[in-house]
Parts: sequence; C-alpha cells; structure tokens
Amino acid sequence: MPVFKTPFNGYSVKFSPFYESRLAVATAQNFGILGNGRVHVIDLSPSSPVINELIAFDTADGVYDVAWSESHDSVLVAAIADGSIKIYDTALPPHSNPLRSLKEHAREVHGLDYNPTRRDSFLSASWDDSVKLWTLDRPGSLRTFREHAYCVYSASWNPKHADVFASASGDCTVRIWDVREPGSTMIIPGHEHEILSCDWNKYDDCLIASASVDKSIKIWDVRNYRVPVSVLNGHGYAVRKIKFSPHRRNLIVSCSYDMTVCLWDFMVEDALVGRYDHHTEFAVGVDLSVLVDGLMASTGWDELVYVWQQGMDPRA
Amino acid sequence: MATTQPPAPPNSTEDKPQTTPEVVQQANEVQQDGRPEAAKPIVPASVFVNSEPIREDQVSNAVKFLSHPKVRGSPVIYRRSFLERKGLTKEEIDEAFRRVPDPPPSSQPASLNQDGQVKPSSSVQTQATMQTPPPVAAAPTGIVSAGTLAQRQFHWYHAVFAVGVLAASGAGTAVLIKNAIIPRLKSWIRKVVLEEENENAKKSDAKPSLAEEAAAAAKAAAAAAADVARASQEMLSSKNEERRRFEEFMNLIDVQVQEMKSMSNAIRKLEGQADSSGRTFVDHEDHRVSASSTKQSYANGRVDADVRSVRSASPPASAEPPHPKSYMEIMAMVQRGEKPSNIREINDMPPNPNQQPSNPRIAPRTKGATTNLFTK
Repeated sequence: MPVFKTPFNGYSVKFSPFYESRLAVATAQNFGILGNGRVHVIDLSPSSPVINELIAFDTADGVYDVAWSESHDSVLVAAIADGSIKIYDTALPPHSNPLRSLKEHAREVHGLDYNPTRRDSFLSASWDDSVKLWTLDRPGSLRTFREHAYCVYSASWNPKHADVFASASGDCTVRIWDVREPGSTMIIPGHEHEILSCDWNKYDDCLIASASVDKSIKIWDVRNYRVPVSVLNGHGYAVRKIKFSPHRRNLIVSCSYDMTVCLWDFMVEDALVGRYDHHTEFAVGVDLSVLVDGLMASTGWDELVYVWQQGMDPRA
Repeated sequence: MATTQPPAPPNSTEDKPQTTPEVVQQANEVQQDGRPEAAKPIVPASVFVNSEPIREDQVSNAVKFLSHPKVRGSPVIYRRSFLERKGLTKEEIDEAFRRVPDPPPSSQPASLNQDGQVKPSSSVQTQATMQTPPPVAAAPTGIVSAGTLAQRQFHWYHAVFAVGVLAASGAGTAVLIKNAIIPRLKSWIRKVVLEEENENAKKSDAKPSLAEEAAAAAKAAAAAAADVARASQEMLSSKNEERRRFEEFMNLIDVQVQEMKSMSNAIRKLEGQADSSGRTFVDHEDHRVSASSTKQSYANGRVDADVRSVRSASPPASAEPPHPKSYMEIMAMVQRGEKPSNIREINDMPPNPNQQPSNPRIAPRTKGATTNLFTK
C-alpha cells in the first residue's frame, strides 16, 4: 500500500472529486504550533505502490485543511493558520500560484468544505468563532455566520440540501444553518466537551454525526435531536475527524489522537468494524474516495500519508 | 449576537420529510436541464428547524440563572452558550432574556453619577444648615455616603470628592467649634460666674466666707472644665472615627488600585500572548484551559470561572493523550519566546491578483461529482 512522506506534520488529506488517484495533503511545520506550511498534490501510480508528488505549494504559516473545488478539476483551496484562505490552481506553474489569498478571519482557519451540490461555494470554519461562505470568483466572503461562543473546528454541507450546513465548535454544540436564514436553525448540544468534527450522512439527509474530545462519536437525527441515534465508543482519546462513506449508507470512518483510524457501522450493535493503527503519532486527517469504493487515505503528525483499500493493511 | 430573527416559519409539519426526497428529486431533475438556479426545493429546510414549543420549566430555570448577580456580570455570549449547552432552544433562550431585565452596562455609571451627585449635595446642605445638630453627625454622613459610593463603582473623582468632603467636614467642625461652641461655653461660664457674683452679692451677709466663694467658683469652673473636656473628648472621638473611616476608605482605594494593577497586567500579558508568535494549543483541553484562563482575568466578574467551570472540569475520563516529545520541546521553546530555527521567510501572496483559474479539463458532472452517487 502506498505511503507518502511529507517533510512537515500532516493535518488533512482529501481525495480529488475528479481524479481517482489524486489527493491533496495539508501539512504544517513544527506540529502546526509555529512555522511554515505546505500543500502537496500527490498522484497514486496505477501499477506500483509509489506515490508521486505532482506539485507542492509553500505557505508562510501552517496549512490546517484543504478542499478540492467541485467546479474546476485543478483548483483547490487551503486553510492557513494565519487566518487566510489561499486558492491554488495545479494546472498553473508554481510561480503563478496562489490565485487568491482571502484574508478575513481574525484567527486560524481550521476547516474547509466545498459545496458538492451547488459546486460554486465553500465554507471556512475558524477559531475566531465564525463560519464564512465564499465563492471562487469573489474577493470577499458572501456571509459570515457568527453565533458560536468558541472556536469552530469544522463545517459540513448537507449533501442533499444545497443551502443547509452544519458547524462543530469548541462551545460543545453543533449548529445547523441555512444560508437563506440569518441565524442558525438548530442547536444540538451534543457533547459535554469540545466537538471537533461533524459530517452528514450521504444517504439520509437527516442524519448527522459529531466527534468530540470526549472520545465518542454520536449520530443524530435532526428530527429528534435530543437523543442520539447511536453513540460510538472505542477511541482512546479525542476523535479528530469523521467522514460518512459516500458508498455505504451506514459506514463512517474516524481518526483520533489515539493514533488509529476506525471504521464503524452505526446501525449494528457492535459498531466497530475495522481498526487501523498504522500511524505512530496523532492521526488527524482521514478521507474516503468518492470515485473508488473502499479507497481511504489518512495522515498524521508522523508525517506520513497512507492510501489503502478498506480491508487491507495500510502498511503492507 | 443576541438579536437573532426567528427562523422562517416552517410551512409544514413533521411528516413533510417523507415528501422531501421527492421534492429534491424534482429539483435535481430540473437541474439536469442545466438550469440549476431555476427551481429550489420549496420546503426541506423545515426539517432542520426546531419546531418544539417553548418549555416553560426550562425558561423559568433560565430566568433564575440569568437573574443571579454573578451571571449578570458576564458577557452575554457566555450566558447564551451556557443555556445552549443545557439544551434550551433559541426561542426559549430569547424568551428568558426578554423576561430578565438586562440593564446594559452603560446605565450603571449613569445611575452612580446621579447618586454621587445627590448624596454630596445633601451632605453639603446638612453642613450649611447645621446649627444644633452636633457636628459629629455631618462628618459621618459625608463619609458614609462616600463609602457607599466607593462600594458600588469606583472612580477617581469619587475619591477626590470624598477626600474633599472629609476635609470640608473637618474644617467645618473646627470652625463651628471655634465660632459657636466656645463662645457659648465662655458666655455660659461668664453667666455662671455672674450668677455666682450676684448670689454672693445678695448673700453677702449670709455667707461672707471666701473659702465658700472660692469653692463655689471652683466647682463651677470644674463643671465648666468637665464640660469642655467632654466636648473635646467627643470631638476627639469623632476625629478618631473620622480617621478610622478615612483609613477604611484608603484601604478600599488600595484594593481597587491592586485590582486595576492586576487587570492591567493581565491585559499586558494577553497582548503579549497575541503578539508572540506561538499558538497556545496543545490538546484541545489545554487550548480551552489557557484560553479560558486569559478570558477569566479579562472579564469583569468572576462569573467566567463559574460558567466555564462547567466545561473546564477535568478533561473527559482520561488524561491527555501523550504528545510526541519533540512537540513538548517546541511548545516549551515557543512559550519561552524562542523561534524554532527551521522556519523560513516565505512570501505566499498571489503574484498576480487578477489571475484567472485555468480552464477545467473535465466538465463537472451535472449533479456534482459527489452527489452523483447519493441518489442510489
């Protein structure tokens, strides 16, 4: 299974929605505490377990997240620790990049999500307690959603409802928003501790999952949000990122500070269906390919990016 | 932050979600025609909106919480966040805020100014019109009013004013004693002596004894002296009281100064943290702890400790995850103010701010690459 070594500590990995074997990796020097950053665009080669780097972009400050455009196959967006968002085009030479630098957030931008339905807009979640809505062509944000009382760690578009999204925050709530409304439309006080990640189910538009510092992942139905549908326990430390499978209705993948990547089926009694402990430091980024069923990737502070097929051993 | 408009009234009930997929499919089909903006799904947002009625018990709990004096000193956003974490909906929180009259912070000094002006004027009045009321009373009222002023909210001009009041009352006391009391005393003594003389003149035959006269005069003088002594003692005790109150007052001033110093230190530290290149996040527990500790020293009241203690209770169930050793080294370095040596100066600004993205080589799939799948 292919492995890619990054010079800096990994923070996020995302599959391209256009190319089956292409990924973008966000990395930050010195664990993201203080230092430069780099965005890698890597290609899996079809025959050998080798990963090639297509292009890389250096940034002055650490890169915490990256997101591929759904409208342009070569464009991606990077969330920078200095509060800016940079737009890159991999089809242009490095000296013409970045296309844009959008500086509005007052603090680190921690999460990005591109709208898969409308394809023209994306969200940024920042430690300045706000979420902003952007398009590629405008120099400024379209909307700012400011209600959270603490850092917003991630934002996620609903895959069926183009105007609805959710945000996960350190104020221990998940908020559901509609861009047509001025404020949040629902508040889910999901955990007693900070919520680091949230994601919508790709097949049931009313199901949303939240991952928290309390080591658990909870699945909620927004129609009855006081009681979770399911609680997934098993991680030894905070759960950093979760993602519902684009191919299987009940499958969700998570990565945690306990250095493992876990696969869960939340409709089953014994929910944990897979565990991968290939990382030797915090596992902070995980993604599932939309184009290839079962293909998954993860990255961590051990400066490695693994890409493997579900069921296989990532280190093989 | 607190002013949120109510969400658009849901134009459907809970059984709408079943029709939702149909509506969305229709919308998708419309999009297939290549006009994505044409028809939006009419309803579906209603599923993502709270349709619960307001729960009165939750609202009354919230009202109790908001009425607590400590809570009133905290920023509104933390009060809202606390109630949200307790499971109240936006409508319930808004209703609770409506029910608790929330005096905006600007009105406090205003009312204080009014009080400050009313009280000193009354004490000045009492001084001016004072004839018989003992001088002792004026000074304490002046001091008490100054004391209450100090308790509520402290401003420098209050201190100056209070000191002025004290000085004035002391001076007034002295002046009054000189002008009013002593002449009265003297005249009273003279009267007594005169009476004695008259008495003696009357009873010149009755009791010609010098000794007796002297004794009587001495007695009168002693009584007068006793009176003077009493008066002076009263004055002394009042002076002592004055001095004591003044010292209490000075202590209050000192306490306020200490608080101000610590606040300015905290502010300086906070500025230092913001300027320093480090990022104080270790794990999310640490981030929260360090952020909340700076926010505590920042805030007006001590409420932040209480409100945030709900969250900053010891991290869930387990110790912090073991961080890589070099992580700790870098954190320590940064907190000492040193910069790790491997950082380069990088200019990552766009070289051409008007650069257009290259033409896409692959057309986006009509429904979007990701949602292509989700209609399975």
